[in-house]
Amino acid sequence: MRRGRTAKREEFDEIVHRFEIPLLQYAQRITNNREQARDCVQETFVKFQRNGALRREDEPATWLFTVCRNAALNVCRKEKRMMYVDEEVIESCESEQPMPFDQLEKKEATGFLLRIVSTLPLRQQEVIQLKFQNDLSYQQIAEIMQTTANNVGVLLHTALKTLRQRYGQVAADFIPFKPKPND
Amino acid sequence: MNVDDPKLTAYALDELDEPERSAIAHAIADSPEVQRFVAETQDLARDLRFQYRLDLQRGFFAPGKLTGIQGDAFWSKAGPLAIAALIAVLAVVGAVIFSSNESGISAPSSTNLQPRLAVERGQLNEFAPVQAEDAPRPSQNEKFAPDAGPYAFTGERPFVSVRNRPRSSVPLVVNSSSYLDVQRSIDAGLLPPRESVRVEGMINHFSYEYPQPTPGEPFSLNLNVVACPWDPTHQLVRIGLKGRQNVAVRADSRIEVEFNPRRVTSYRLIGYDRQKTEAQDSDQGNDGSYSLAAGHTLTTLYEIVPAEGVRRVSRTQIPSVPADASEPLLTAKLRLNTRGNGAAIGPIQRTLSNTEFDFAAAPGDVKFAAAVAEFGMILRDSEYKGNGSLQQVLEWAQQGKGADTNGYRADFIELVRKAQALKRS
Repeated sequence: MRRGRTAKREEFDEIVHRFEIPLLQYAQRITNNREQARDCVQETFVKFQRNGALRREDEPATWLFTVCRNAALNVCRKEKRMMYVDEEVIESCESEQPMPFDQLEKKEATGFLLRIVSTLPLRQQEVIQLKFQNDLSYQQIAEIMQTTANNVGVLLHTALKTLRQRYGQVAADFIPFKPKPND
Repeated sequence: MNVDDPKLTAYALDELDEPERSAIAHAIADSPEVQRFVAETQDLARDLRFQYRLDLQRGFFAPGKLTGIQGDAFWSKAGPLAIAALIAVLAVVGAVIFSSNESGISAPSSTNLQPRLAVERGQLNEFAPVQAEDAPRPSQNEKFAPDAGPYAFTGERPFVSVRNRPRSSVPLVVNSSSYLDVQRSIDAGLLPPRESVRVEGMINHFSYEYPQPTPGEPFSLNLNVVACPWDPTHQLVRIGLKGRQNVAVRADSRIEVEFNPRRVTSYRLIGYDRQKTEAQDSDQGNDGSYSLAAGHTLTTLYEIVPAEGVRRVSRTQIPSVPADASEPLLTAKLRLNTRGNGAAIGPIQRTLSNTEFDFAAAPGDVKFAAAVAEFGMILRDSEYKGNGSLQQVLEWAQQGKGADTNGYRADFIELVRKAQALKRS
C-alpha cells in the first residue's frame, strides 16, 4: 500500500518535471502573463492528480495540454481579452501579437530558430510547440486545439513554410560555403 | 503533387497511414523538387526538435520557474519535491549524455552496434559512401528504438573493401550548421546529442589554405596523405578543393576517388553519416539545393588501411599482392556538372602517390582538420574514433592553428576545453 503510494507519487513527480515547462510556455503564450500561466499550470496539475488521470495508460500529454489550454482561455475570457470561441480565438487576444520578424536581432545565433517561431501567428506557434517540443501527432494536437487533424496539417504546413523562408534568410550567415577569407 | 500541398508536410513528418503514405512516396518519386521539399521539411523538423530540447534543458536552470507558486498547500509540498526531482532528472540526463559520449566506459548500446554488425556480416557495400541511391532501406529490426529520442540513430559509414568497391564519391555539398549546434550545446553546459554532430560539417566550418586553381582550371584539387593520428597503422587522406571566382556548379557534382587495391585494403569516408531520415527514405537525395560557391573550399578526409598494414576488418580481407611502393594510392577526379556552361571545363584529375608524412610533420591544416574530425567522432562516440582523446585533439589543434586570422580556430580550441571540462564534471 505504502509502496504503491510512493510509486504513484514518483510517477506524478515525473510528469510534473516532464511537462511543467512546456505547459508554462504554452499557457504563457495564450495568456501573455507569467503569473497567470503559472496559475493555469498549477490548476492543471491539481486536476490531473485529483482526477486520478495518472492511472490512464495512455500518454498524459493530450489531457494536460487540453486542460491547460482551457484554463488559459478561461483567463482570457474572464479578462474579456477575446471574442468568444471561434477558430481564431487565440489570435484575438490583444497585446500578444507576435514580434515582427524584421525586429529580431539576427546576430545572436543561439536559439535563433525558436525566436523565429515566436514571430509566427499564435496558432501556428501553438502547433509548432505541440508537434516538435512534445512530439504529439496531428490527431492529438487536433483534440487539444478542438479542431480537425486536417486543420492542424494546414497550420503546420503554413508555419513550416514561413519558418523555412525566414530561417533561410538568416541561415545564410551560418552556412559554410559562403565567402570567407582563408585562415 | 506540388509543394503547397499540406499532405506533403504530413508525409515528411511521418503522419500518414498506409496506403496514403505509399501513394505519395510513389507520386513524388520522379520529382526532385518535391523530394527536396520533403528533405528540407525533415531537416527543419530535426532542427526544431533539437532546439526545443536544448531550450528545455536550459529552462530547467532558469530561475523563477517554481518560485511564486508558494503559499499554496499543494505547492508547498510539491515545490521542494519538484526541485529535488528536477535535480535528479538533470543528474540522469547528464549521466546519460555523459555515458553515451564517454569512450570505453559505457556498454555499447544496441544502436551503436549496428554498423559493426553490418561489417561482420560482410555487407560492407550496404553503406556505400554518400550515394544514397545505393543504400538499402533498413529492415524493421535495424530501426532505432522508438523511445530513443530523435538523435539515437547512428548511421556511421564503415570501412569499405577496396576490392569490392574501389570507387567512392563525395558531393560538393556540406551543411555545416552542425558545428553551431555543437557549439551552442557545449556553451549551454551539455555535450551535444550524438546525431546532431555531423563530422563533415564540422570540418568544413573552417576554411583551409589551398593553392589557387591553375590557369584554365576552375578548381584546384589537392591531395595529402599522413599517418592517421588516432590509429597509427592507418593513414589519413585529405582531399582539398578550392574554386575559382564565378564558377557555379550544380550540387550533384562530385569528387570521385578510385583506390588502388594493391596499395589500399579498405577505406572509410569520415563523416557523411547517414541520418535517420535517410534511413527511412533512402532515395531522397539532396540535389542541387546548394552549390559550391566561388572561392570556397571543401575538405574531405578518408581513413585508409594500407595494404601492408594491420587489418581491423580482417574477416573480409583477401591477402593482397604486395605492390610496388611507387604505384599510386588513389586517383581523384572532379566530376563537374555545370548548368549549361560545361563546355569550358575540362576534366580535373590528380593522383596521390605514397609520400606519407609522419603526423608530427604533417601540414598544419591537415593537423587541424584531423583534430576537428576526431573531436566530432569523440562527441559521436564513434566506433571509429580509435585511441584519440580530447587532450590529443587539443594538441593537434594547437599545432595546426596557424595564423588564424579570423579567430575561428582559437574558438575551436576553447570549445574542446569546455567539452573536456564537461566530460570531467
